[in-house]
Amino acid sequence: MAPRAFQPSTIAIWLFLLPGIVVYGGVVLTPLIGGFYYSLFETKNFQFHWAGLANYVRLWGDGDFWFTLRNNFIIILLSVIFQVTTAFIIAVLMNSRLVIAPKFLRTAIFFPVILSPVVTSFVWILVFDINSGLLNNTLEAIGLGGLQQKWLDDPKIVIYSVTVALVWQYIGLFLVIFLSGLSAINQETIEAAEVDGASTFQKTIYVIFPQLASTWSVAIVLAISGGLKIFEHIFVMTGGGPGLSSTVVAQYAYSQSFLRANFSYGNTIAIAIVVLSLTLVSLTIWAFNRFVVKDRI
Amino acid sequence: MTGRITLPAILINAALILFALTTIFPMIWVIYNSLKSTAAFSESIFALPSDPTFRAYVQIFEVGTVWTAMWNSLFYAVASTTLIVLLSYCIAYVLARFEFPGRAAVFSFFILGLLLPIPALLVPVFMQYRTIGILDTQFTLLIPYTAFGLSLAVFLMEGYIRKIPVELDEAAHVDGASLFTVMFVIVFPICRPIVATVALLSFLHSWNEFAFATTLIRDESYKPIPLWLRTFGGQYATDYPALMAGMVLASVPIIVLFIFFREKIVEGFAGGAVKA
Repeated sequence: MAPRAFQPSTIAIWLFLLPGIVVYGGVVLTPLIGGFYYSLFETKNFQFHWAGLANYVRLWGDGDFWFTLRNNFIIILLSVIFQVTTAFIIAVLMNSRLVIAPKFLRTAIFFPVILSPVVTSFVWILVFDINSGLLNNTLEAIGLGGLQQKWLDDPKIVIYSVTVALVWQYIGLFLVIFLSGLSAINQETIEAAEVDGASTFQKTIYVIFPQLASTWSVAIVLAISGGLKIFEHIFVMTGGGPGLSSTVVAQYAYSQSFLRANFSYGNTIAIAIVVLSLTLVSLTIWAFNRFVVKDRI
Repeated sequence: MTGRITLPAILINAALILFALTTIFPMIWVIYNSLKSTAAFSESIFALPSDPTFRAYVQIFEVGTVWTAMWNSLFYAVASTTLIVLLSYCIAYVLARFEFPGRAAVFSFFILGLLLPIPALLVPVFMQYRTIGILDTQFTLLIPYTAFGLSLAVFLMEGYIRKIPVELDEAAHVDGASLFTVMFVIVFPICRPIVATVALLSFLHSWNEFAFATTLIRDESYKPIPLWLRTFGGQYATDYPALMAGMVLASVPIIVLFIFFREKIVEGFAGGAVKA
């Protein structure tokens, strides 16, 4: 925007910006700098000793760290497959005039998004409860009692159980993202395809999909950054257990700090998560712009 | 409505409605089971309460810790929402209207907050708060709640202000209005729709937040409702109706807001995500 006749002094501009920058910088920027600083020390009995990059060397060789990171990637992969893709399919169906109550569907599917993670975690604790749970009881009621599981207590399946809870809660977010993407695409191209006799499937793949490339990029970025943000649900549902089986990186940083009182190492993990997340997000955006999105807005 | 009634259409509708029911049923199940006695619950977890009782709610209110938690949450949510609206409007207005050195940097700085893995900041923020000595106070949680709400708020507001013709501001200025008057008397009222969206989203986030609360607050008297629910859920793990009543209490304000303002809330979430 070109400078206008109506332009206050630079000082006046910064006076308006300053309060927000101070509050936000004090929670986002200075802790990151402080966190990096502490990660260069070693903690023993709440005493800090200079350690250089020793914590990062330890992190590189820490199998538990890689295991918890792998859990994040399982969640990310499953949310891209089940959450993002399902949301896309539902959005396309809802846009297709076949669906009788789109408003109700959208509101109902979006509803869990607004609930507190603590509440939804307890909802899923109750669903997965071995004896009184909704899931095991439903399985028994419909004669599939053989499929009953210790959903949150079996280390082999617990990571998938908690992923179900996450997918359930946030699928509505991806749905409204795709719906708003769909509402912005050119309806004439769809009608033209219909006139040419394209099937619903052909319309979706050849007409709608390419026009939604930037929406897909948003959804994938959100799934990746969201997958690395997971903390509260698992903290409440399983505490990361049994053992480490459902621990994600953010909780690993937390338990190293508060249970092992190793704040330096906790900070090291925190810094690693931030760097990793920003790198992955930038790479995804770059890859989409480079290879997929043709017409940037 | 105009679609023909064909078998695929019926199947698709049935599948979607079934799916939508699975998203709302668990919460409905929680609500009606909170009205059962423990005996009635263990008899059948599916049946509607034949003899509804408010026993669980009475019990929770008698213990009383829930009042403090509700008051705290209300305070955190209202105070942080007010701060977010005020601070983000100032920033967004200046970013949308003026060209100045550092403009792009300030904008990116705030957008960064949308991409940061926020739980990774728990330990560093805790360390900083411990060093300064501001853990466990009435205002401790206000700072992170306000800060993390700012990114999205700046984003939504900046986009909205940009669409208001700048000629309006200039005409007012020519007529002798000060910058302050232009911002708060002329333009702010026009921004009411986006202010409402920002306020709703901020309120929801602050009311629901758990991670920072559990990290920065130990003192019972400052615990917000999600933290209360987690403690309560641990103590009443076997009294399912009581746990469910606690979950309902923690969600009531959120559900009421959603019922009245669902269009605005959905719009805000969609708009915020697309810009991220």
